[in-house]
Amino acid sequence: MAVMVRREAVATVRVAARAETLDGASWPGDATAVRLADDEVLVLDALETSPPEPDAIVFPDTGWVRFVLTPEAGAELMARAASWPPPVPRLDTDVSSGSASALGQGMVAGIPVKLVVGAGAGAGAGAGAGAAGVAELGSGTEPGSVGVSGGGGPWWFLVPAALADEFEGRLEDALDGAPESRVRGEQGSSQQAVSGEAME
Amino acid sequence: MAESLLVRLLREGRHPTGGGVLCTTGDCMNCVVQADGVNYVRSCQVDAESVANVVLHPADGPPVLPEPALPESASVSVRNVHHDTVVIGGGESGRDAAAAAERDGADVVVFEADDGFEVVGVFPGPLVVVRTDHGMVHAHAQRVIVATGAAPILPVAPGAELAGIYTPAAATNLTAAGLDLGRVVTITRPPERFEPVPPDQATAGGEGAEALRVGAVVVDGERFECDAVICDLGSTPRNVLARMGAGLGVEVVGDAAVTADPPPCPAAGVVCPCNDTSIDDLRDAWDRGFTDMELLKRATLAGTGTCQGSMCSPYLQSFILDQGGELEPVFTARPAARQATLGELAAGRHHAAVPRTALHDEHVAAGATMDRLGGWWRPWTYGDVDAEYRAVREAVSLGDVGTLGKFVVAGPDAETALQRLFPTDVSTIRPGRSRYVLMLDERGYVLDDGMILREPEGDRFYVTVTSGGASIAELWVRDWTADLDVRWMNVTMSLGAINVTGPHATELMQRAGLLEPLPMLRHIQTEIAGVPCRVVRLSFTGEVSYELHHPFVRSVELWRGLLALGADLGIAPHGLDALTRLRLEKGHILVGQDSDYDSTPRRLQHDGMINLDAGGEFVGRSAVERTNRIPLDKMLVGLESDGPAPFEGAVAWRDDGEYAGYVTSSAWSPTLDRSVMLAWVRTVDGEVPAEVVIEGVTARRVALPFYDPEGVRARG
Repeated sequence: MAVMVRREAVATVRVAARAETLDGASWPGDATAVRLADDEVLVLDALETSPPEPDAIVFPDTGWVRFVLTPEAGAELMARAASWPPPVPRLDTDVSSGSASALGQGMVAGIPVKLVVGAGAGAGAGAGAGAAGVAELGSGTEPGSVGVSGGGGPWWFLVPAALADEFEGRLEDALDGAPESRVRGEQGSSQQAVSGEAME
Repeated sequence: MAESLLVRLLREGRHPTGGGVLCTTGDCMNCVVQADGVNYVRSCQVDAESVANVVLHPADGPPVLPEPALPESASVSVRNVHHDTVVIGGGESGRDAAAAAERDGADVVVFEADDGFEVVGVFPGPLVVVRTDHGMVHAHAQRVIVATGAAPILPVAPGAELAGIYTPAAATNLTAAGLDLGRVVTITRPPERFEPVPPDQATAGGEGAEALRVGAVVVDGERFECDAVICDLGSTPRNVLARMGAGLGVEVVGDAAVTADPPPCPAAGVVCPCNDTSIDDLRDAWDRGFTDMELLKRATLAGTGTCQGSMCSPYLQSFILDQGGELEPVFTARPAARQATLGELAAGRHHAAVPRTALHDEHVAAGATMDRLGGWWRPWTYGDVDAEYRAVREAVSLGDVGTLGKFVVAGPDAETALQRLFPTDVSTIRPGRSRYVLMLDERGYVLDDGMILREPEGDRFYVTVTSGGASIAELWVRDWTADLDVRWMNVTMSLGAINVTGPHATELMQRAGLLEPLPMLRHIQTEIAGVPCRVVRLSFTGEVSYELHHPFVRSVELWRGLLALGADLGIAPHGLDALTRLRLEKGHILVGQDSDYDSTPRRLQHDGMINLDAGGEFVGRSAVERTNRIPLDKMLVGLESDGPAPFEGAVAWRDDGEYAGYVTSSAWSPTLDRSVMLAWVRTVDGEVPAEVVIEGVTARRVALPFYDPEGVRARG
């Protein structure tokens, strides 16, 4: 099994706003926006974003670490360490973007994880409509749904930085500690200065 | 498999447990052995070539522990699979059910024990847990169909513990394996008894057991001499998994779903081999008034053993009918349906992960002893708690408070939401100001404490709660404000926080960029040592203090920058050991340590923090108003003594020898040169005693705080 595991700091912006506002919101072109809940979006690989409404909370958040795995390794990790199925990407409403992505949230190896499948290049690129490029809340939190790994792009396991070291160890254990499964990337890479952005 | 372990043992003249009917279908418990260090392994289900070391179970008593030591067990792997339909049992009814589901478009998997997939249990989900030779399988399904067929009814009669008694399937299988059963008698009616081989012909059995063999069987008064008895007494649904999944929507098909007539009630014998419950035991329980299935089960333990009623339930039914009762369905079954090792049951489970602050490695590098406190890894001490204490009281010190719960609150109803949640008049918290608050539950008991900060623009807030309380607090606040137009964002793990505290804290902050003085309880956004921070002026230690909330990823940079800037000021970090002493000297409570499940603000002497005059409704208000009218029964008070600090939890006694209460926090104060404590003390005639005795030493009640009562040092 080809395993590519890379650990990296990730710049994110968290946005809390009314559900109907988020439904129609647009996000920075190169970013991937994942809908965590009706009233919250996590914008990945972005340093800032415009408030979609005056009362929105827009919070640049450096407290996340991303573990990037091949789809094969991601599916294997989920099979060994998660009781919920990986989310199933579906074709984006914006067919021209060609993006298909999905989000699942739950415990992986006992650690809360946000799993983005099929994100990355193209996801959100040139997004015009609000739904384009936005990974829909997947089926990861509902038991029993069919999980089929999809999309050729890498799988992103987003973990709170406060739990990243623990997750790295458990990930390696889950994938049998094979040399290929050693996590690449700087230990404590979450400590890299991502930006000097002021809070909020 | 080429040859089962059971066949191998019988060929060697050894009965695994010294006697008892053998079924070879995994239904009886009479073939279990210790195989490679694991007890209760059904030898009829195991390939003889796969086992290196076999130890027979004794005929009576528990199995022996493996020698020389417990086997080294590697962790058991688990594989999670997800299917629309799981079918348990690959016989005819199982195959038919699977085919039907597939025709309906379902994704189906069939688990058949003979193929190496042994279902251990059905759990809510539904989740089907399966054991294989290569680890566990956790099958998550929408639909579970049990098609496990029927099991033979095993004989209950005196002598059923003898060797040489078989079910029809066992006789067939063992004969096919080349074993000679000798003179065979087949019975189709319940026997009165099995008789052993006469003593002069008996031979000793296997290891540790005298395997007395059957020599004759008596049926309807007629005696038949034999070497083996085949008991063809009918079948009963093999429904342990169906009973286990009864409340989970599990479907049952085929023979497993049949409601079979119970066998005739035996006159004597062991009904439940798992717990050695006899017919006489059932009669005794019945005579004592335990006259239904559930009561008989609880009174005699019949059905509570490892087979969960598979062997005995038909006879429990027949016994009840024989006593004049009605036919009752069999009770539920508890996991596991099959013996499983702890490793197998624990497969796929993980210890709760304990988060680390961004400064974790800094603490370790500085020699800190780390411990799990409040749900986080935190530095307990850096090796010299007295030095850490002095750094706070005499110089300047840094504390990692990144574990604090932190929330951003916004929206048109943000102030209304906070007013509902906290017993204070939020409207009087001005922009740029903060306030220490309690959070009460509906009964008026203290749930948490923290700070409310109003942002400069006025319509947003930043709220902190205790370390370890953020998740509970988030559930709480969202639940209570779901009807309001408010946004909550839990940023606990998104921000680090450092407490700068000590007489030189202000000088250090000035060096770091805080050029304008910041009055008590004010907060601003500015750069400190080049890092964007929310700076809050407050005090937990009793000295001038600033809390710096900043991006998680900049925490190390800020920590190192402050240490460098304060090098000539005697700066040093302090851990929780020092901090708990410092805050105790100021009489600051720790929610959860000094407070209990029934701690009202009044009992905590914090009733001044409850604003009943603001007129607004807050959670717990009616309870506070009601309990205010009830005489105080106990209070959390400050105590001091000249003796050594008692341990936390030590009992306080009145001078008349009566119980007075207990100590919640305790420490020797170097500054005050005496022990200081917080303790719950019962009132006597509405008053707290002036003195109590703790660990033989008199402790005096004193007003709080112990240290700097006027707060001069905290204000700087």
